[in-house]
Amino acid sequence: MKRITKTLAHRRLRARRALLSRRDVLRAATGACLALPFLPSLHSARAAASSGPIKRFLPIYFPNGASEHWWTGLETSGSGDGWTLSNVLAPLQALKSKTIHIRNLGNYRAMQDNRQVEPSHARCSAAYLTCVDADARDQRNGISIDQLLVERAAFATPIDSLQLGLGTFPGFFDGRPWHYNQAVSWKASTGTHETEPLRRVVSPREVFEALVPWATPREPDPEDPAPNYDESILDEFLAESAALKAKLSRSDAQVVDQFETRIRELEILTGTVDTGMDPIPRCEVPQEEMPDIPDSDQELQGVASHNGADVNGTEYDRGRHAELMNQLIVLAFQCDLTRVVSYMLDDARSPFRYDHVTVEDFGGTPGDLNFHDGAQHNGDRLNNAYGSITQWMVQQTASLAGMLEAIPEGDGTMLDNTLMLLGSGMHSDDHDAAELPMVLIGGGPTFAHDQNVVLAPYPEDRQLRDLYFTILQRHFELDVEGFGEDRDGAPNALLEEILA
Amino acid sequence: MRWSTVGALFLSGCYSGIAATGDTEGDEVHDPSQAMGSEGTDEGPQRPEEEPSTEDDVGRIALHRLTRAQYEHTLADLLHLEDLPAATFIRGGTGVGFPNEAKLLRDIPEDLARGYIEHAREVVGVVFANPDARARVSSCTPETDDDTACAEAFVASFGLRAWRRPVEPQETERLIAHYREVRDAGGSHDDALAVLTRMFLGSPHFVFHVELDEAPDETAPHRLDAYALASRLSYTIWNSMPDDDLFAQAKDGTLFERERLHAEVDRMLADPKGTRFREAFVETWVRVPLLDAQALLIDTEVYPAWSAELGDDMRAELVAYLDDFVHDDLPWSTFLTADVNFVTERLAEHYGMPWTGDAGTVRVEGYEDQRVGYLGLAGFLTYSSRSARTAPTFRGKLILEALSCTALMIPPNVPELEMDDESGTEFPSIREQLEAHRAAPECAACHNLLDPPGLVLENFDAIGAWRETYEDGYPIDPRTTFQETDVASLIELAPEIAKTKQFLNCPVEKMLTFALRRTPEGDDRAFIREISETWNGGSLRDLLKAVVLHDAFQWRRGEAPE
Repeated sequence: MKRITKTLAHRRLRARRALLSRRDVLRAATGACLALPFLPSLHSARAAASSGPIKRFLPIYFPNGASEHWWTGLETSGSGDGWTLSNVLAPLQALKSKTIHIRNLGNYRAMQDNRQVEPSHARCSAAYLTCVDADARDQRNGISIDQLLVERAAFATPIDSLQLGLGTFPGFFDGRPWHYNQAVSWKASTGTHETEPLRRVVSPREVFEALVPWATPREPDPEDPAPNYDESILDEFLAESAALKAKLSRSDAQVVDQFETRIRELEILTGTVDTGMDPIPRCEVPQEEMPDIPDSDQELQGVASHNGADVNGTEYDRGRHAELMNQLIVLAFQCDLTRVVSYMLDDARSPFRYDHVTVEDFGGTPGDLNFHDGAQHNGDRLNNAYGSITQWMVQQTASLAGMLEAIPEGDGTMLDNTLMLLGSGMHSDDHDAAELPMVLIGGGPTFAHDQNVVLAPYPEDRQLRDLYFTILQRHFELDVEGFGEDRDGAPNALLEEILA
Repeated sequence: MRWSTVGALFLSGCYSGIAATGDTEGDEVHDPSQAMGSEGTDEGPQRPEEEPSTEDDVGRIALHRLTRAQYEHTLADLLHLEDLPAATFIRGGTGVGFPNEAKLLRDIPEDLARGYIEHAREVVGVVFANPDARARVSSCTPETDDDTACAEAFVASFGLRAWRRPVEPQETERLIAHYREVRDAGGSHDDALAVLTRMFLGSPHFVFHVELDEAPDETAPHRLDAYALASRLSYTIWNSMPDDDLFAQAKDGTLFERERLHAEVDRMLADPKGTRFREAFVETWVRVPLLDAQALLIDTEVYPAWSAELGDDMRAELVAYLDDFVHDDLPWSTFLTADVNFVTERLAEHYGMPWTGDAGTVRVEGYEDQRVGYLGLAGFLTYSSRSARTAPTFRGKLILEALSCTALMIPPNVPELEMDDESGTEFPSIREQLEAHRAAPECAACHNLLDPPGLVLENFDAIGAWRETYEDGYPIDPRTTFQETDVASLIELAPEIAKTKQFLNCPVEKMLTFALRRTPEGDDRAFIREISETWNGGSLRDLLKAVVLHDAFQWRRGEAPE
């Protein structure tokens, strides 16, 4: 009780400074429930509330490929009792009846004709959810599947989508910009480029505040009674932007135009503009289910940006970090604040030391827990550290899936209404962009669950873009013409094997 | 020239860089020092020429936002306040290159505009809660509630500094209307100034580098207005806004005078803020920030001598060494050969030097050992290594790319340039592995360029200590051939690299890139050649003067419609 009081007090302090703190604050119930505010949706202007069952999308990414132990025993197709999970995938055992393992999907044809893409980490992660070669687009990219979904499905949720991650220790970027290694989601942009990367947020506090930014009950604030003139300030910026744009070349005016768009978005959020939408019903979450977010980022030292002092020290606990992120995702879904979350369990080519992971005996040499340098690049491709880190990635996913499975929703569970994917942009220590690790969990009746799907191997392999195409067409029922790119211009085809 | 063998290799596929800066074919040599009107006479200020002295395209700096460092420095200098809240909401790329490159700073991510506004609110809260800081913002008090003279004075003086140019009449009018809005609602003078300050700080005129063209859609070159020139100067040298002296010279039109600009460069480098030129430009260029990341990764089981304090000493030495070139005018041509170290007792022990000081840091010149120049500094040798081993290919890559402006292109289908091989402690040695690499023609193109410097530096371990064998006793053989010259030590290698044109002219390319905030394009190559001809590996200060006097720095043009 004491702890939560403290957290709330801290938030109140923050809220006073927040631009949006004084408008549209829900008259929240205090005491047992933390209430989320009315919040006009940015989507409200362009989409009506969707009908039918809730369908969420939660692609999860991990870097540095999977240990070969991922596939041990998964050589042949099977379903039900006809297949068993490998040791690395064992954490999914309880959810096996809602799981599909898919073998032999490649993503290299989005980039080139063979599986050896270079530089591997950066390009493969950039292409993971876009199936487009960022190098071929002046270091930009295509629109990722999650963002295409946001755009086309137009869920009427307060937050379009979240991009979360646990990467706290940047490694070598392969000579590419950050957005290759620290973003898998790309959305259409109104700026100078067609798309813009959405960097994963690693700070649980930042996520929490995005989810519950106006949780403070409306009450007189004697320390800050004056009107804040936010509206006048935003108006002034719009006036300055308009006058400035008139003096600029076309491409420079686009930059200011994007600034102006952002200001207008803030105006909508602050209520300066009437969207004509009913407010979103509030969501009440019992206090004991609220994530226990540390008061200070110092308590989670992994939250520093890559420009700050990252600490890979003993204080930071990656396991705890992951646990908090999982709780935040569940919170976001429970309150229907968003239906689309992309989640990077670590940044591409991460050299983070997974010292918190217990090394299990997979029958190899011990290996080293530096993920990239020690585990993936160990001389022994079957080393135990690599297997154990890979298994840890599966564990976090299984834990999140288990939390969703425990929450009833409609006729089933929240997991049935959430399509989860777990995979990586590269195969294993070989860095190949073929035979990608890929598991599908949940998502309900669209899919033929509880089976191991073994597709034709390289070079006759199917491509990741077909999986995404299938998901968009059949699960989300969107009339997309295609998804991603193929070097030879091959059309998309449904991945019938996974469909019910 | 000595680089001719490299030229052949370029054709074989490794080299992807722009034409070597030493290449002078074709173009007339243009002396940038002559760019500014006629030579000094005593007829008072020279009128700036109406035409650029070059027919080459002076290009333009595209509109872009301030980097995080620029934003933070500008706020601190504007408000004379250190320790303001950090602007963590501003993110930048971490690719290779300078973070001030305009094209990297043209996106406005979703949370950025909100970040500007919230941060401005916080900063204004700090300023108006601090009587000294508040007094520096505006010193007068209105006599009546209707008196707007004070607010007008504030808009003119604070606005000039915040927006780096005089506030225009219609802007003043709008801002005074906002002032009245607050006052009429019962707010105090300070309440109203606080709102105006928030408007100044979150404004596009504050957060962007705005340079205007007379005709934005036409490509005829025109001279920058004097305030824009003042900003180009201050953001190049201070990574921040101009100070009052610069604003005064922009106002009276004297800033374009050649002698005045020379004096300004000297004054700005000597100013306490002058260290930011080294921080933002030189350190980024030679890749010093790599040391900060690497320092956290060193495997102390392999290198028990490593400590965070030793890492700090190494970084301090790099900085002191760079300052010899930035502030004390050591010629660039000696960057790899100057036998200078800056050691603490701890670092002296690491180097095997006798310690003669009492405490602190001692400048040691001419100590006879195997260490010479920048490549011999432990900081460089550490940040060019991996956590538990040296990385000769990466060392070679840094020397080529960062110090010799030679861009490499990894041919398709070879493993990452960063080596995947095992540590050098096992047989076969790194040397043998690299030789095997070079035996394959597709690998040789790059490795013939990369390996020789790296092999010579194998005598320095991954934290820069001297060694003659690998950790398992396997002997190190540093003999190799660099540009057809046999070399077997850093002392023999350093002067060979130092006399290549690629090395000697590299600072010109880097500095022009930094000052113009763009990767060389269009006629920039010609400008680099021109400046190289007259500068010739001299001091970085002279180079800076040549750059800021150059037409490419003082002129700009609009942009043809698509």
